[in-house]
Amino acid sequence: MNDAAAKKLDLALAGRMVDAALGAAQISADERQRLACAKALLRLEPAPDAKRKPGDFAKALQDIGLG
Amino acid sequence: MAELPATLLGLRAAIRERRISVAEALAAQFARIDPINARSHCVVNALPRPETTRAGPLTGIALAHKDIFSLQSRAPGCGVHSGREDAASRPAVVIAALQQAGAAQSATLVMAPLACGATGENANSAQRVINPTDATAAVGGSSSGSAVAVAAGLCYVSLGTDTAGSVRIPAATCGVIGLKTTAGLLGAEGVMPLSPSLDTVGLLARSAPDAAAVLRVLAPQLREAPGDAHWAPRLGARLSIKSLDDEVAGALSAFCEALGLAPGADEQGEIAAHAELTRLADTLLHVEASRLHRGGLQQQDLPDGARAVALPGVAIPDAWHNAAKAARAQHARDFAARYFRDSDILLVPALPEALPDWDAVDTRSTGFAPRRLLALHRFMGFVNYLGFPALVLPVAQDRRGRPICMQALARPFHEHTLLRFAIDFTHARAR
Repeated sequence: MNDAAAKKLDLALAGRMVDAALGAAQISADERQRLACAKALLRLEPAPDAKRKPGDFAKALQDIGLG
Repeated sequence: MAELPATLLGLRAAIRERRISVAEALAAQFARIDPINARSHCVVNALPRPETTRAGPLTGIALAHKDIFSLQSRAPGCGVHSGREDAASRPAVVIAALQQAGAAQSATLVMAPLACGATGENANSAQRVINPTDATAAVGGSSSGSAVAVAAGLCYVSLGTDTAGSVRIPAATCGVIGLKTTAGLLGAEGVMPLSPSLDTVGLLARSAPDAAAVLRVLAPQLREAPGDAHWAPRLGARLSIKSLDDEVAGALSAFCEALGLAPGADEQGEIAAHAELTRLADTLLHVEASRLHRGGLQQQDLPDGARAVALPGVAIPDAWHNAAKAARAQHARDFAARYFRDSDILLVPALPEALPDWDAVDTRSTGFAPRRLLALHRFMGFVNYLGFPALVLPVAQDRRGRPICMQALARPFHEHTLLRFAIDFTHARAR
């Protein structure tokens, strides 16, 4: 896993993240697969305002179920 | 050979009233496997008929399940092979619960390799699984064999798993009931994982009362829906009309109107935070699949579909995954506050487009249209992220006679509310 992703991504940066992560994990992939991974990163990058208050998911389900 | 009733509950009554013996019932159910499989290619292994079964609410009932559950002395094939003898293997928790209730297991059923696939496509299978409603129509996945077996009458109920729609998509394509249960409700021990945060065991059935009967065995602690015959769940809807093709939009709007739920602009609008919830679900799915299948990624021996799911997860930063997990509770609370304050059930689409031909969604076909394959997932993953139960049920047919399904969501642990809704709808349609 790569822990650094502070910048807003573009395809080139996402591609470098993919290359670094696959290299570190000793996983080989062809160009098409690397491009698909980079596009996935662009799609999955959190928006700056996407944060929610952390919480206990199992307890939330119990609470909602009882509500 | 004894004639079998149309439903599990009908067979149970026939056994109780001694119109058919347990042995006759099992013989008739096991006898269905070969002829149905010859037409539909949904079986991995036919299992031997047991000499005896326990006494319980499912005595005399033979069920068949997705080949993802460990059985006694048998490890599942998970769509990659046909299963293996394994002396150390013990039944999955859910399989053991059914056995304790007297159920037999007649077969293991085909699935997409490693539960990665919105269809039943499987390069390891000699023949494509066939949709009993229309042989040229696609069969959804990954619990493809479960949907086909139920629709074809091989069994009354089948267990599957649902991580991103893998019970609901096949059920919707075959026109049967598909129930994704609340996250954590049913034990995952003995079930091959894909994304443990999102994985759930679910049920596919021809009738909602049959599904309810099996669910009572698996989760006896669940609260029942009110017994009052005049009680009806309060309904809400978010039909996302602009995301649907005309045929599906028309059918779902008409369904809502028939329920007295006049779909105004609000009901026809988008599901709040749908895109964000889908993004978060996909983040968990990719990362967790990559962790489980790291060895397979390195060794280059994962099936294509599983590799496509797992590979992006290697590059997703831990911070994104951690944030997606941490935010889940608040998203669930927000969603419930928005949609379940005044409603017991939220109606949303199941599939956004009319059921495609097999060739449109088979990646090996010359007619393959990737957009149509991706569309099968559109209204699925966000529910797994929220952890709520969801049920798909057929409500109409398209111009080719293929099923169009609605998806109903309820509060966590309110599965019987969903099933009651399906039962009431079925009764209303029969009148």
